[in-house]
Amino acid sequence: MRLSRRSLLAGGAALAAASLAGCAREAGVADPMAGRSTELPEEPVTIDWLSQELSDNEGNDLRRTLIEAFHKRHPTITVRLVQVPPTTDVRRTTLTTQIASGAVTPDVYLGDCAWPAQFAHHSLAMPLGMLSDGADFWSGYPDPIVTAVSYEDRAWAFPMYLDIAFLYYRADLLHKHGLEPPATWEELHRTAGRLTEAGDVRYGFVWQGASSETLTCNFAEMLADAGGALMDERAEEVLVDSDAGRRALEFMSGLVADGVSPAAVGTFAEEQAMTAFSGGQSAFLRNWSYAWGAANAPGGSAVAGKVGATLRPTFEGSGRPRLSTLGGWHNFVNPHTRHLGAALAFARWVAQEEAQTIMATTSPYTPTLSSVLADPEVVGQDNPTFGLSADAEFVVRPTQSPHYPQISKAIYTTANPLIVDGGGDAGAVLSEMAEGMRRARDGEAL
Amino acid sequence: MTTGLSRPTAPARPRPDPGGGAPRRGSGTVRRDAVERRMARTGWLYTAPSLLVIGGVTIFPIVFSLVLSFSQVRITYDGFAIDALTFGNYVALLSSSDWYYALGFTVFYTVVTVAVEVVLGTMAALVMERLGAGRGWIMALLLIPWSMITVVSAQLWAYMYNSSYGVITWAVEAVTGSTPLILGQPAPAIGAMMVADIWKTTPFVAIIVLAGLVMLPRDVYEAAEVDGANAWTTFWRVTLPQLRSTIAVAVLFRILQAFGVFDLPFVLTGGGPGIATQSLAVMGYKVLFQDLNIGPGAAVATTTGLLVAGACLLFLKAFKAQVGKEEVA
Repeated sequence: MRLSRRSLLAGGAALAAASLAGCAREAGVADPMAGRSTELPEEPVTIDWLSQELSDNEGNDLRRTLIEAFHKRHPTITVRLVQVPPTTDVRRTTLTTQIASGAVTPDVYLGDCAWPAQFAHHSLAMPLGMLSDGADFWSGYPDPIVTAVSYEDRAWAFPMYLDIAFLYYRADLLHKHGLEPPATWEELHRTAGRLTEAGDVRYGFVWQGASSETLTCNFAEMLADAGGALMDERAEEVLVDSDAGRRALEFMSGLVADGVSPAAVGTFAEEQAMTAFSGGQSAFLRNWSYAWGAANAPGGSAVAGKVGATLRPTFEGSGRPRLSTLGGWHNFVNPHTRHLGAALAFARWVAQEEAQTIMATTSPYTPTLSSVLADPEVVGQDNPTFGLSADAEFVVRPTQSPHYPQISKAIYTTANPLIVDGGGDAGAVLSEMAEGMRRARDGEAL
Repeated sequence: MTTGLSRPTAPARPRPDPGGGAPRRGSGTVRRDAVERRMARTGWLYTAPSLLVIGGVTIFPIVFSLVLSFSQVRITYDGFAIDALTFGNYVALLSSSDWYYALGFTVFYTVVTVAVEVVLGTMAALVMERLGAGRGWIMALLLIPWSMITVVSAQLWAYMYNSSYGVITWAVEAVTGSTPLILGQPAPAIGAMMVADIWKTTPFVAIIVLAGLVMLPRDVYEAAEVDGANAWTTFWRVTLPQLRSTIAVAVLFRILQAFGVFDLPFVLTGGGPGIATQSLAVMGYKVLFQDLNIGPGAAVATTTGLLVAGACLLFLKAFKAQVGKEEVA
């Protein structure tokens, strides 16, 4: 492993400096870091880490492996795991109520990449310093990830793992018909039609159209494929009501109308789409990185060993292939923690080379640190998603707005009926969506 | 709890002297007053712990939530900060189409489910009353849906309604030939949620009505029989009027529960598709805890509380007026 103690120390020092410098700025706003020691504790301490279950390739708990490795490096710090509620939304609610009411634990929590702005805005996360001051540290991560964990030029979370959307396909069926994985959506439409007509599969293409965040991700990607965007980079101007928006929406509802996708995609989140694909019912699946492992799980999948993965296609005539919504999970520090030094040390360590390498070589989670993701040893593994990840281009949701949850709600609640019905007035839906997004952006939506 | 409060204090009030106008007989009365005061003090002392608990877990949160609903609230690193007092939260509520929808949906859901449950529950109770030896067993069976935790039963219904492997989806498909999206479209989702609720709470109504039924006096029935009333007339003229107060209790409990429904839509549909099954309670939860919109969230909670209290009072008043009219007649 190409791990040098010096690089670790350098990264840590840069960040500690960044943190301290960050405190000096922005007078007037109470800074939770002010006057508190970020030094590593000399006495033994125990910190709580809230994280969902992360299994490695052997089915063991990756979190425990990481905790042990960290403990070896910092014997004074013991990390204890906290049980978490199963769904992202419920987990977020638990954290917001707990931390808003001043709970000192969990000291560190793994949060969705859509959370930083909302959590920062509501004082639920510890600011980790100005981005500009930690430039060396942050240059190790792809720009979209740095953008995603930042709010008002400060960093709010240490990146842990990436979620990238791929197109999974039944390699056996394509081979049988002498077909290639599709390079455009139009081609996918035709290919899926041939496979369903031949009676090889029940559905052509399954994805996530349920009235929830997952539809916002699916729509944001299609919109970007068509050359559009939900909002501008600063999440200020609403851009969704456009020709690209119409093309994306009409294609998505057309998939249902033409029978390429079942109307049930209007109720599918990740789990349901995954079940349909791994049960052998569908030729194509749009899903995140984890789906490679799930589709190839012996015993858990009827299509194990028959699956291929590629980056998402795009529309004919559009020059933007390989797009994926940026997803992923990052470690936040509770601003009320009693063990700030230890909490910072752990959250930062998970984002750095040693932990990222352990994760990349033993588990299906895609590392965030560019150097680890480019490591030939990592890329060369059985899992093709690692190799493809480096080529992915990211679509960033307007998570820079502290009102992102309401903005997203305006998107998925208006788009969902069109998908369920397999068509309708896309223009009217888009203007209603844009109006709802503007109200949400201005903080007027409930 | 109120009895605990009023009993010890009541004697402390000065009583009219039984001697009427006669001069007080000095020390005896004084001693009795002192005893009563001491008893009152002891009473307060005994009830103090429960009063403190009620104040802490019921009164304070209600008042605090009321204050929050009139405040501009911000979460800071030092806890909640109230920036200003405002009517803005209520203005936001009244200008939100989502709130009107949630209100309409909650009222509709309450009226339909409670009405169906009362009819079905009363019918079930009438049947059970006639049962002999098997009644105990039937009652136990009937109580299973009611005793099941809603989170669990809602999850079971969610499996049955599931659009790819649900047994109900399969059955509908077998009959009609097309695959229904039960939880994916507004009208079927609302219907599906009502069915799940009716399945679960009809037994509750049935048990309460049955308790009322078995306590009805026999002689009235005998008199009706002598007068030549048939079963239909007996039910409408004899049984139902006497069951009124029992049914009123059941309806009251059901209104309170149905209006605050949260667990069923939360698990079954998440309030969706879109906001089709978003009750006021689910909306309050989302605004408060997911979006951290504390002020407007508190306003949702407060208005919901007021509305359900108003609905119950109105129902009780209507019920009393009805009973009063009959008694006069």
